[in-house]
Amino acid sequence: MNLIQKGIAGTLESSDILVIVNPQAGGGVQLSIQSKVEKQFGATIRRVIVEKLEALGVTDVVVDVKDQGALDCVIAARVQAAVYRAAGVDKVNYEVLS
Amino acid sequence: MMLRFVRKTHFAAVSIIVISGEDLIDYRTRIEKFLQNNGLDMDARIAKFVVAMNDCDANIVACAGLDGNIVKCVCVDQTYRGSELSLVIGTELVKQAFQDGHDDLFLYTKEKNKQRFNGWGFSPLVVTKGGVTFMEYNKRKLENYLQSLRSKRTSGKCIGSIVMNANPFTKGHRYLVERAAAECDCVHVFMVKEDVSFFRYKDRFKLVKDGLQDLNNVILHPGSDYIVSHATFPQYFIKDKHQVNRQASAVDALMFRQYIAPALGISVRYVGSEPIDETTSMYNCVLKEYLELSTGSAPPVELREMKRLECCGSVISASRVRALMKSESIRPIEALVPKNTFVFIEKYLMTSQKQKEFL
Repeated sequence: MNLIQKGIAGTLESSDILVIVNPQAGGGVQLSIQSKVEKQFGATIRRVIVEKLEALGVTDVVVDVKDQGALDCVIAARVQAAVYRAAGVDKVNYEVLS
Repeated sequence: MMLRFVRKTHFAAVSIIVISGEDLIDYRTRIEKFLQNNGLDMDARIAKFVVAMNDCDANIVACAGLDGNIVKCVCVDQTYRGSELSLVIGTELVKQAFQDGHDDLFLYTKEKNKQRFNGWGFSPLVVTKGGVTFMEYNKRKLENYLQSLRSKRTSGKCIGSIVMNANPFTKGHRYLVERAAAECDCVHVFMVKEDVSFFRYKDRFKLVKDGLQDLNNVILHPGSDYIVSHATFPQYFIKDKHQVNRQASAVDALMFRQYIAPALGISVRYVGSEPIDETTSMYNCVLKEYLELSTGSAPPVELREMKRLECCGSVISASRVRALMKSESIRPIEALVPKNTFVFIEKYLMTSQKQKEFL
C-alpha cells in the first residue's frame, strides 16, 4: 500500500492506543513505542504492529505509538485504520479486512 | 468553533470543542476566568484551544491550548480530575497539532505534573532546580537532530559555541565570533529560530551566514526546537514572575549541556558581557550556574564572558541598532553593523518609507 500523507488513529485513553504513521520514502519501517506496559508486552506490541504492516504491504513508514494497555486486536485495528488514512483510502471494504 | 464530539463522562455529558481564529476572541474571557479559578494565567500567544464544556450548564470544565508546537494552559476542573477527561482533551489536542502540520510537540510543566503528561505520551527532556520540566512528544525527533549534529562533529581540543538571535547581526556579534574562532579549534554558531523578533528568521540567518563566511573554522547551524527561545516560554503557571526568565534560561542551559554540547563535543560557550540590561546579565548568571558549576550527568561546559565591543562610548548591541531604526536615524547605524547588514537595513527602511508615503 502506498502512503501519501500522515495518518492518525486511536486515542490516549485507557485500553486504547494512539497510532501516528508517516510515509518515509526508502527508509524502511521505523517504529517507536511508548507504553505503560512496555516491559511486559513491548515485544508483543512490536510484533503485532510489524505483522499488520507486512499484511498491508507497507514497507517505508515511521510509526509512533502511545499505548495505554490496548489488546492485540485493538492495536492491529488502530494500525490498519491509520495506514488506510495515510494511504487516502476512504472506501473500505469491511468484509475483507484482514 | 468546531464541535468535535460529545462524551458521556462519569458526571455528565461533556462536549469537546476546538476554538481558533475569531471564535477565540469571543471565548477568551471565559477561558481566562476558568484558568484564573484554577490558579493559572492566560497566555496571549495561544492560537487554538481545545475546550471541554459541561452540557448541563455550559461551563468550561477543561481546556488545553496550542501556541505553534507548544502545549500551554492545560487545566481540568477539580471535580473532573482523575477522570479520563484529561486524556480525552489530550488526544484531541495532539490530533489537532498533527493535523496542523506539526510533527512534534513540546510543553513546560511543574515537576509534580510530569506523570500526567507522561500519560499523554510526552517524555521529559530536562528538569530545572526550580522544578520546571521540559517535555517532548516525539522523542525520536531529538535523536534525529542530535544524529545530524554528530555528522558535523570535528576533532580538536577546544570546541567553542555561541547561541545568537542576531536581531540584527552587528559588529558586536562578529567580534564575539572572531574572538572565539581565534581561541578555539572550531566554533559552532546556533541561531534562535522563533519568528518573534523584529527581523524575520530567514533574514537574520542570511545576514549571519554572509557575515561569517570568511571564517573557516566556524560552522553555522540553523535554528531548531532545541535551542529554546524565551519568547515562547510560558509564564502562566509560575507564580513568582521574577522566576520566569530564570527558569527559561535554566531550561535553555540544560538542553544545551545535556544534549547539544555532547553531540558536538563542545567544551566552551561564549557570551557577551552585559553591563546594562538586567535580563541578559541574569541570563549569563544562570547559564554559568547550569553549564559550568552544577553537577550533572553531562560534562560541564565552560562559560566565557567576553567584554563587549564598544563604539562611540557605549557597547554595540542589536537593541541599540533597532532603537536607531525606530528613530529613523540611519547614519549612526553604519558604524555598528557590518556592510551587509547595513545594506539590508537601508533597503528595509526605504521600503517601509515608501509604504508610509503610499498610505
